Amino acid sequence: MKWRALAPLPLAALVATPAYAADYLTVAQAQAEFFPGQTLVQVPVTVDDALADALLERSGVHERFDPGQVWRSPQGGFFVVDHVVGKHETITFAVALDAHGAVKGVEILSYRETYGYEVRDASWRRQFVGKTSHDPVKLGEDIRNVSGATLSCKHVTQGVKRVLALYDLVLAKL
Amino acid sequence: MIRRARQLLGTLVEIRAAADLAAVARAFEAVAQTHALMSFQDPASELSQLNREAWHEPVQVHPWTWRVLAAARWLYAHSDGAFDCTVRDDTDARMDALELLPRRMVRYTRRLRLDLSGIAKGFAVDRALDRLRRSGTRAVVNAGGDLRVFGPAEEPIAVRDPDRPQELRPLGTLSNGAFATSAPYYSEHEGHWSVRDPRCGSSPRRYRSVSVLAPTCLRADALTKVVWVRGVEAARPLLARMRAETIVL
Repeated sequence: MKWRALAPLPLAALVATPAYAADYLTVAQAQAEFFPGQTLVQVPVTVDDALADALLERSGVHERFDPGQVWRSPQGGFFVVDHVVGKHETITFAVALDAHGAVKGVEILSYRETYGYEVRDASWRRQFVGKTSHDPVKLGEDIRNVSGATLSCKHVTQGVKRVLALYDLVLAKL
Repeated sequence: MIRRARQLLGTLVEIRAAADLAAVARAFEAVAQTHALMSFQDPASELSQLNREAWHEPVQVHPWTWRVLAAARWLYAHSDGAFDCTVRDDTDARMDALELLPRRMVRYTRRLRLDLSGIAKGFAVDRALDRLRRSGTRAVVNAGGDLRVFGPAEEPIAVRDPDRPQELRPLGTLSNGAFATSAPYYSEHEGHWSVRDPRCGSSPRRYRSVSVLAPTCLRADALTKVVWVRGVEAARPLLARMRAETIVL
């Protein structure tokens, strides 16, 4: 073990960096991992109020589903990108489904820590949709190893539930 | 470097590694397996089985559960009881009621429940790292703030500002070692937070944030609780014995 402490400055003298953000996979990378060698085709999905209500009821996710993030594989599988907003963080994730609607895998694409006032601002949230590792958000991108009290984030489970509900209600009937 | 994250242990577990994808997948599996064995909340976990049955008759446990129980028991004995995984609300029984018998058999001599949350996350990080270092040269595993670095590269470490936890303060660099932090922010609820003083049941307030550097993440994770309960000065001999250092804010 080798620890090299920064000069022991008073805490106030250290420059604080706001918020933690990380990109793990681009949409294209995740597609290639789940459906290697297959060309996925984007599937248009219309989310009317009835569907939005049904998705909320079955998953508990309040954010409106972004319909532009659904793809289909030539062999009948689906690939869906969605995001969940927690108290302190926004997580964008991808779910791959096989031709029978079973989960092949879940990958977290990106993680963004957020301030309360920013989370409420929908346009601020939207900037993360479709972000790739080629256009990283500058916020905190150089800080990679963060220690601290454990931040509980369990919303991805709910998010996967919503994708399964979307499959039942819409994708299975396509 | 591959960089991947999964939602595991109720938090975000991140792996960065110069290893192949299969090794990264095996590392995440080690975290998931630790959770499946030692989750306090999951009624199907081995720990839940112990908490139901070990008071009636000895239960044989998985080698990993055994290692964590043995480490917890050792830490209890060497911290004057400051490290204690018994759920205090149930009983006044303490960790000395945990008996570790031959052939990985475990018995509770009194009716009690153990909650290994204060040590199992660090153990999970260590097991994930084991699987990465077999096939790579460099890796960092970070389970919601408890992290371990493998390799000689000096990884910059930042800690959350306890007053504004979304601001990060760089503290230094670490190679081949572990770093864990316990603090009230994020878990504060009705005057308590996740660390309790086993002697009085209240949550300690002497600092705002306690971090520990140690050779393994199990040690770092567990020792943060000892520093919270006993204070830096009283914890120093145990920290030295475990080749650990502490940084309190």
